[in-house]
Amino acid sequence: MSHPVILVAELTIREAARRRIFLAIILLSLLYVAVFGLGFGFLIQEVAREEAAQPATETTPQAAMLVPPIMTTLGIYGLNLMAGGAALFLGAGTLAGEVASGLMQVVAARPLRRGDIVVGKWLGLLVIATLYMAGTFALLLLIVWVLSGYVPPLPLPAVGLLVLEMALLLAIALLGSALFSTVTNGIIIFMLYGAAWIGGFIEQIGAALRSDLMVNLGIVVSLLVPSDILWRAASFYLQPSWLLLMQNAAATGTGLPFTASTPTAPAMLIWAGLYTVAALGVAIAVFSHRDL
Amino acid sequence: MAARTDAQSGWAIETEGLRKVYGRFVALEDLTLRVAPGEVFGFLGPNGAGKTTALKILLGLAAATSGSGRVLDRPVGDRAVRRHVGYLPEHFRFPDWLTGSEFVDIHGRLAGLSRTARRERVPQALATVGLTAAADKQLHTYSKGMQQRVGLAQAIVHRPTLVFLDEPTSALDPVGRRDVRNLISRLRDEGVTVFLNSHLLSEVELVCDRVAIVNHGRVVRAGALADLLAGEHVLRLTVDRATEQLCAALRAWGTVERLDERELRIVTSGPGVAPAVAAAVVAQGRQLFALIPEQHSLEEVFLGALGAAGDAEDATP
Repeated sequence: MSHPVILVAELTIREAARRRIFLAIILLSLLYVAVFGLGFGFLIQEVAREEAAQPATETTPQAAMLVPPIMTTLGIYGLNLMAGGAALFLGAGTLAGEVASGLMQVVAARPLRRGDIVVGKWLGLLVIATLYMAGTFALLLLIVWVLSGYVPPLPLPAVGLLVLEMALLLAIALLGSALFSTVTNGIIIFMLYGAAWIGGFIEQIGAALRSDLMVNLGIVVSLLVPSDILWRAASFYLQPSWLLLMQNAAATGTGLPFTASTPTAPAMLIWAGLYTVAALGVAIAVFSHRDL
Repeated sequence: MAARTDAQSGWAIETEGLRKVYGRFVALEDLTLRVAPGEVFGFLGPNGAGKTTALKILLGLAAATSGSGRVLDRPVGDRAVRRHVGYLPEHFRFPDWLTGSEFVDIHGRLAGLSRTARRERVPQALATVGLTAAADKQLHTYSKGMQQRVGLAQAIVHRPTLVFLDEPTSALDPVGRRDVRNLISRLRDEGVTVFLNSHLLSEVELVCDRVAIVNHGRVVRAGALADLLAGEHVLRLTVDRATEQLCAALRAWGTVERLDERELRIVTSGPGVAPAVAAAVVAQGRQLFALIPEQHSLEEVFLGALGAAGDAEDATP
């Protein structure tokens, strides 16, 4: 007899497989990587041709070198946004939807804890989100490597942080799903996700403009929903050190949009981890005391 | 697995003043009832009377605002006791991407059955509800009646001692209803306690041992079905001619009412007077065409109980 958490997780994954969620995700992933690869390939060719026609001058010394790391980082950034949205979609209606349809009552009347249901759902969805994230991530780096020979310096910590981001977003989605109906929850969590994104953006612009107010505002929003923190922590590991040095030395000081050019403070990462655990804990508490 | 855990108090279900309030809405006013092990208990009431709320509290799906209850001699909501409880909800949508046997197997796992036990029990449960042929078809191909039956299969797969059925026949055609009735009878034969929520009185009349009638969240009438239906002892007679003389002679057995030329109604003092009444008719030189003991229908009892919903003092069985 397997533990109820594992059983619920297994059912969640089986459900996703049967309902062709996997198929949709794989197709989406392939489409994304294909479009990215096409654009990346053209860009490299274009840059190579220009540099051949106009050999290294003062203005275009490093274009061929800059394109792969910058494009890779932006490619992973796009993936990060998509996967985050997908995780929220998967999690938004999980508990609330099944309570509304009457599916949950039959399961909850069985001898398992409500908490086991919440954790099992979270775990199952996390496996799906991780496969999507890690799979597309690997595919994208493969394309980049084939086309340009470039490999980001530390891909494993980067993808690890992005998976943690999935875990965080799923925990938030499940908490919302324990509290609200599917539609209400969907609206709330997407607004929070958007706010986190804008928060990171405001902080970065604030740093560029040397506005403490904007930086602090951005930090507060990032703390409220620390998903963007995890992306930026990951982005640091995707960029080669020379690129980071170059960005930090530049006058504007903050580097590529939406990315970090300095390592994220460990306290922030701990916060994101604790946040995930806490969100899940509150989701369990709420769902355990809810009338079904 | 089927060991009785209700040996201590002797009741499969015992509740005292269970009350459930949602905000300002009182869903259940005062649920006080007892269900004996092995009986088929009909829980009747109009829609909105609090039947489903009561059932959800007994299953631990909702928490009572106040009051207490025990199911299989454990406090309401106890997790371990749910191993011995089966449940078929009224409104459900089962995961229709699963096949019938996958679905029942999953519920066997959720109920804590081992792989070996499931290998035996899943086909058995499906056979019991007549779904062996459709076991490997996906649930979305099932008709409404088949879905109801696979729902029953998941409710009994773990050999529960107590089964809650919430309106199990309301979506079914007459054949499906008969099948469900037969299944309930079979469960009773196996010693399983069945708690049947229903507003279909004819169903309840056919299958239940005892009933409780709820209205506005209270039990307004409860007892053995036979007692509720018996009520007064009334005989209806059809004779060749209901003469005044005959009526006078019959008054010895009770109150006589002359309905028309040939029909009489006697409210007798007790049971067993029918032969004497028949003899008296013949002694009067009249011809007796019919002598029928009148019974209350459950519908009459039900409507009567709802009408008298105000006085719920004798609510406990």
